[in-house]
Amino acid sequence: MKFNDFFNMKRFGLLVKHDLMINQNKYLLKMLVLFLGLYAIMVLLMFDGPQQFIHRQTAPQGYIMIFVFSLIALGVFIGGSFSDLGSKVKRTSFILLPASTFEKMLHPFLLRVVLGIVCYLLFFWVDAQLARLTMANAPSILIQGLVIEPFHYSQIIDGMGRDDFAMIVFLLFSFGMYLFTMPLFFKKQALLKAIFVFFIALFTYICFFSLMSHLFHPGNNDGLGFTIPDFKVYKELTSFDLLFDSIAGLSWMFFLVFGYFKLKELKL
Amino acid sequence: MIEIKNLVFQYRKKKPLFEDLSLRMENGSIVGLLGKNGAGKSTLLNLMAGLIPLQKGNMIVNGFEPSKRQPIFLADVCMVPEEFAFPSTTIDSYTKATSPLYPSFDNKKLDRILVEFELDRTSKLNQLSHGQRKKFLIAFTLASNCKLLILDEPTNGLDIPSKSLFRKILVGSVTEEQLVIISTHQVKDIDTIIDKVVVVDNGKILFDQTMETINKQWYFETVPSLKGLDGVLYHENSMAGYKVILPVTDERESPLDLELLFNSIINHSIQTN
Repeated sequence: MKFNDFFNMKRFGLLVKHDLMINQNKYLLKMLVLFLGLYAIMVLLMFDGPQQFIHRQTAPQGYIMIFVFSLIALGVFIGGSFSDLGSKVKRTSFILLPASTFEKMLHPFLLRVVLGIVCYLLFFWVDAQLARLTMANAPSILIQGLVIEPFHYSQIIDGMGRDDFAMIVFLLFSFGMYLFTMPLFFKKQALLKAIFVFFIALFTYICFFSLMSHLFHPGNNDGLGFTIPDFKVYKELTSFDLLFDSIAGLSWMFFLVFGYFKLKELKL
Repeated sequence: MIEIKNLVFQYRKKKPLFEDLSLRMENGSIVGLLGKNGAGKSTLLNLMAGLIPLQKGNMIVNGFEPSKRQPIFLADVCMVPEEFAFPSTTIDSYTKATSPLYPSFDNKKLDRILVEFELDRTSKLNQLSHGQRKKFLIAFTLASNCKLLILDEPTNGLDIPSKSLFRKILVGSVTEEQLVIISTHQVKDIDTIIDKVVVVDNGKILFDQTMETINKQWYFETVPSLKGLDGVLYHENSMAGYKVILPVTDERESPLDLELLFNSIINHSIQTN
């Protein structure tokens, strides 16, 4: 197979231009909703519980809580990448677009995942500053005379724990890639089905561990509880850390490769 | 050019749609693909466009295997599917966004066809009627100048003047390098423009003849009575008496009655392939 059949910069540029020209209003609307939604939530929560946004012994929990919950919006945006493919008519147009499968996969990855994450982080930071400025001008009685802490991303890193931060980011990214590729496997209500399957898989995983724990460590666990006996693999790295890190750090690759081949075999 | 050899295709849990189907279509012609409901016309078109993968056999379209969906192949195939949808944008925006993906796209040709179809570039696609949107899709497909144009029920939803305009525009737009395949049930809409008739039935190519061959072999006529007529190959009742197909015995030629020919083929009254 020639490289040109796989990727061509000019053709890829035309594909991106095609999508942006046709869906520009849809994308702008989504960005606007995210920007205003985040701002509104932050202001409301700052009014409701300003003590959540001041620095005590730990980083302001309010920012961390909003950040974690608003990741759902990002997940929905990423999960909508191939949502059109549920319709036979749109699937026809998609397959017939003169571009390679790689380009058709790379395009939503760059637009929804890379650009989506960058915009999300940027909007979150700007909204946090704007919300704080809004609160600074609010009557003191409404915010109980507290001074809202300015937002920095280091607060999120501290909140998640600096040691585990990289792995949490990878874990979130892997889950994002799961949401990104799953619409290729489900024709209708892909995102809901993907989340449902995720929880089924998680529950099966827990049941399996629990069953093994009851078999090999009888009496140690009740119900769905389980025991994972771990050992040190290398210095401070335990076998459980290795398992967790491998799942978090590698599963996104699996989802992308799996998704690519599913897209390649897409049919009416 | 399309070359299909020993094609076998079957949908899951259904009986085989095509068994050992072979077919060849040359560029520079307009082919009418006919068949009863469920005969597999749309499936055959979808296979040619690479929309569904080949299961068994060989299919080469313009030198490519359609199921590989190579970008160069896709850039030379344009299709008017039976069902279609457009984004919420204007004709102009859609054209500016999509046409650069087709290297041979001719904007002037599109403008000419749009004028003939009385469509305005500033019109919003989603505010047009189904027929108008179909006319735009036909205009875009013809302006793409792709080597393979696949039209699945192109005249469905078009009004009577638009149907004759479609025929006029199509004939005037197709070049020697292009192959146009039209699948339709409305045979009267295409009987004056096609160069070749292909009939699919029971998973096989039942009929595959050029217009020249048809005209040399069969004569189509409406007669008040069958009395005194020798060698009638097929006949149907009509308002004026009987529509008949007769073997050509001299130099005379008749306009093709595609509907009559199709019925005779399906009823096996005419020996074909």
